[in-house]
Amino acid sequence: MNKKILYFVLIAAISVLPFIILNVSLLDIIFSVPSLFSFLFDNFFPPNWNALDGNFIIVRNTILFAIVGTCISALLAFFLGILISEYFNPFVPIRLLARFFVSFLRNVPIIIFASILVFIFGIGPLIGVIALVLGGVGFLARSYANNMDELAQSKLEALKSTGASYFQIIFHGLFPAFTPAWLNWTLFAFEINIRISAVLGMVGAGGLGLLIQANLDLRNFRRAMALIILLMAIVLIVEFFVNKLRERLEKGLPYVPIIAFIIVIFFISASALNLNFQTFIQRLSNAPRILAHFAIFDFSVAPELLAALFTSILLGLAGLVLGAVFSFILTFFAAKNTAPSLTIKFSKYELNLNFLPFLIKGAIALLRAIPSLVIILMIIASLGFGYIAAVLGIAFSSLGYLTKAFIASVEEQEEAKIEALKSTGASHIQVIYHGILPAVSSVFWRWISLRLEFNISDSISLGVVGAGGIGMLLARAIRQSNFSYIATGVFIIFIAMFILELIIDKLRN
Amino acid sequence: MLLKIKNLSKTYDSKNYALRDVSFNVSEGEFIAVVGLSGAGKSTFIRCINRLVPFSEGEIFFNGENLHNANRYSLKKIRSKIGMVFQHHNLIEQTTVLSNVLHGRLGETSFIRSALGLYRKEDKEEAYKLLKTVGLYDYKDKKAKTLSGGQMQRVGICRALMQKPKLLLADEPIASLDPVSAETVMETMKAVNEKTNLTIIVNLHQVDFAKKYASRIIGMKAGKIFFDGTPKSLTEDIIKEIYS
Ligand SMILES: Nc1ncnc2c1ncn2[C@@H]1O[C@H](COP(=O)(O)OP(=O)(O)O)[C@@H](O)[C@H]1O
Ligand SMILES: [Mg+2]
Repeated sequence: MNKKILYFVLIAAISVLPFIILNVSLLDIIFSVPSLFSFLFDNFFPPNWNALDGNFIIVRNTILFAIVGTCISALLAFFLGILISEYFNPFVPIRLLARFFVSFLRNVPIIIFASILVFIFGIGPLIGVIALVLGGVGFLARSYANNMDELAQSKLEALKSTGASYFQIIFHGLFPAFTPAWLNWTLFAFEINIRISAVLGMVGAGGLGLLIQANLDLRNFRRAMALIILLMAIVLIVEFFVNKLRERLEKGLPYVPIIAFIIVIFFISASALNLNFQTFIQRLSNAPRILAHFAIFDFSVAPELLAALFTSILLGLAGLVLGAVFSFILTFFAAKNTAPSLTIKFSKYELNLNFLPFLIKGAIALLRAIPSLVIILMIIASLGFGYIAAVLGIAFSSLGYLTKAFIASVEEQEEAKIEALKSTGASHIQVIYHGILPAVSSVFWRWISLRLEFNISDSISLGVVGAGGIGMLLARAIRQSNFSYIATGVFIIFIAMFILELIIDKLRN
Repeated sequence: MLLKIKNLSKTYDSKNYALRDVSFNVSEGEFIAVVGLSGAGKSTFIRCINRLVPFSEGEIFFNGENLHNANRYSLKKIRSKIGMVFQHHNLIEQTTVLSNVLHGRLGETSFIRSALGLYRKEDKEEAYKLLKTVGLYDYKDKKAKTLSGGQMQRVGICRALMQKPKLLLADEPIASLDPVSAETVMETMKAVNEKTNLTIIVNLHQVDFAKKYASRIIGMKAGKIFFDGTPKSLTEDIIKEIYS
């Protein structure tokens, strides 16, 4: 009981502190929501569909970036996964080096990579693909490696006992056993990449994001809205097909034709993007020379960077708190096994509110289809720069992410347990509190901690598009080609994110 | 008459009837076993009695109250007087054994009190007493998921008894237990029935258990009552008919 109170106080303190330190009042944030919505409705609607004219190539490229980037990173991450895996790579120094590299890729926000890559590869589609590959490898290699190690412990032991060689185990054991997980993670990465691909445009990769940002900057809100709706449609359609594919795979669709199909799509997309391999090699040969500029740290600017990083972290945390609280409430109105059967009675008239879960789920699906940076830009455009806009933006993207995850966990709960509590005469809220919460709370915390990493990455990136925090300092340094400043900033971000990851991993266990 | 059921019918899909025109009465203190093939309608029948499943036609009177007319509030009151035990015990496994038993008081406890764990003192003492009678008092602070299947089922019975019910419903309470635990669970229910005169209706698919413990057996077949009588009058021939 005492432990419970201690946790409660601790969580309450962590939730409240960011608001106090940032000096933003919760009430101000909540009261700005109505004005945000009225601004959006007045200025963003109806969308001006003319914005889509003549932009076919840009839209197409946004999709192609995601396809090409995901495929290349799936391949590279497979090899890196083997290098990271404890079972497949017994050479500790190489393993640690690979781990360090992947952790670096994972922990530096992709939009920062992209803006630095411009120094090496210049503006253009190459940046988009390379940034997606780097981010994808960071995400996938770790997931792959975890999966490979699990397989090694369960299935591959048997193969080893037959006396198979290392490469035989990889070829006859790992390949077939790992393929389902490989495809699954890769499809997941593709869904993420389609959103990132749209955002990368903002830092010079060209693409939908650049168009959206330009229109928001010029306050052509109706044009921007048309592009945003297009982006949402693309994301939703992609998700729809990926889900269909997943269902089919689960039902036993063979993997080989699917992989062959993906390879064909990859080559078609790559050639349509007109990626010039020679240019890539040529530019890459310049890379060591350019990267050498970054080899000098300037720790005199560290205090300034650290303070800005602290602000970024607080913004991410504040957005998380708001998002999590509202997702928590929405979840129980939207999950099909906890939604109250509400009817409002006005003397003779009855209004049945059973459509509520459907409505909430629909709104959440739409919200999730917009990349978080675009949400944040829309809110900044409506409310002006400032912490309120930043926190709200992060809160809305957390809301979309967490509500979906929460609902899925709640709906997984067995109807039987709910039934058992109902049969004691418990009220609706008692059934939720005593029957469902104990079962889902640890999963909820896991999702929240996962989201914290995303949020901080988002809040750093959001500085790059101009909203304060460490990202803004970095964006300025990038414009001024202040290499040692950039290097120091990236280093600080990496270390901070790395520590955060360690803490969260510890907490999870 | 504790329970009066008149012309009860239930359909889930408005085509096939899970229950068809079922009528019968239960007096206080009876120990009734309902037997029948899987799919015969036993679970549906037992769930209609506390309206976990809303029934389509007919009437159920519990303790003189008409279930059909009960609004949300009176339904909760009625449910709190009917304890229920399930095949898969349906405990909340992440919480302690004691909390699971105390869940039986939720219908009589306000949300604020139950959320803060402020159950009444006499409720806690009752919970201790029940756990002692089933031999699980020493486990009271353990997480429910650490218990064995038979132990969990006994906790499930404590939760139901905690409601101070007038009627105890049990839906295949021993179907997923080993023979020894099954005997213990049935013994526990029999003891409660004899000591406190609590009325019990239990779904079973093992006829031998029904014959050994029940004072009255109901055989269901395709949603209808096919047999209703004492264990003695349930002959081999009738059993064959029920299970064909
Ligand atoms: N929730 C439900 N939805 C639709 N049909 C159901 C449901 N529960 C039971 N049924 C149907 O009702 C009939 C009786 O089932 P049930 O009451 O579970 O029988 P028993 O408990 O004797 O096995 C079966 O045909 C079953 O398919
Ligand atoms: Mg059944």
